[in-house]
Amino acid sequence: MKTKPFGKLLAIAGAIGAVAAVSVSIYLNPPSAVKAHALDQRRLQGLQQIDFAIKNYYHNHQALPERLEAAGNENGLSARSDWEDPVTHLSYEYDVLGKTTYRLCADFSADSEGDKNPYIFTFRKHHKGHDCFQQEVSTQ
Amino acid sequence: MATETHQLESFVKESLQSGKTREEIAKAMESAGWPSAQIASALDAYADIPFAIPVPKPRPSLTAREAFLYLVMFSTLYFAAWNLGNLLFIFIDRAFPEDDSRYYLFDMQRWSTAAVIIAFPVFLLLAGYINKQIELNPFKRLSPARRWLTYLTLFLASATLLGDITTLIYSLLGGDLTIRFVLKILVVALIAGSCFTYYLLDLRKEEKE
Repeated sequence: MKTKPFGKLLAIAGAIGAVAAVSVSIYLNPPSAVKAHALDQRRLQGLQQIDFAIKNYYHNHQALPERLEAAGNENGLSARSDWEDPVTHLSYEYDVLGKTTYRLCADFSADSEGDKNPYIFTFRKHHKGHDCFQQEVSTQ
Repeated sequence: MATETHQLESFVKESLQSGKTREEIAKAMESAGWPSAQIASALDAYADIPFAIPVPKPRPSLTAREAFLYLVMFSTLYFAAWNLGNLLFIFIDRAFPEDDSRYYLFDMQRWSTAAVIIAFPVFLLLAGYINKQIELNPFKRLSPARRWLTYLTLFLASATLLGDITTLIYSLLGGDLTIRFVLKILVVALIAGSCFTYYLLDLRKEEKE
């Protein structure tokens, strides 16, 4: 076997393989989807922190906070930019539903599809657009 | 390599000193089996002027420049090969999901895509440029930087292949051979195997010359 035609063949095969792999990769994760996913991850992290702060507030006061700011002040977290939507910069929706139940809502950029991010513990499943999560604090 | 060149040059020097002509010296070296490129280079080390003692010629050292070219070429090869393999692994994981599927940060696929887009064309361009230079000046084939880095690449490729086959046997003995796993073994074998074959043939060619 001569190196020259073999090398040329290998270079062509490699180039085809690389172009195919790059195209498939961009097709599977187009830039818009990557951006939407990143935004949703930030929203989920924010909601997770808020949820933690509310539960902590309940633990200290035996009552749910009336407004998110109260929970934030309690934890010294109110100034965190994670507490508002990364695009609209509006704070996430928080509604008290009962003595121990409440609701957190956000506007998501995409559906969550079988996400396996190990750093997100709650609210893993969500729809594109406005979606709410009903939560309850354990009273024990 | 360096000692060979040294040896050959001192042979040329002594022969010239004893009054042999350049043709005679070249013939002697040829019958001893030296490649013509090396003979020409060894003869070229001394100026062709009448003087009692052979006069050494100044020679530009291109070693550093060559080392730079080969280092860039081989590092882009490793980088592109690694990231291409990584991308194919991610596709295989997506095509055959398992319960304990690894969580890939989106960034990983993105990084590998970017790496292949940049490293692979740079590698192809440099390899093409270097091959053209060698065609023009076959003596460049003997550059120490080239030989060392080619052997290093062969070493890395063979180590990867051996590790690949060992992993295959290990899984075979454990009885858990899945399609996903076999495909990944094949990806590694294909990438490392083609690098290995190409550079092995390349060295063979050089040793023949």
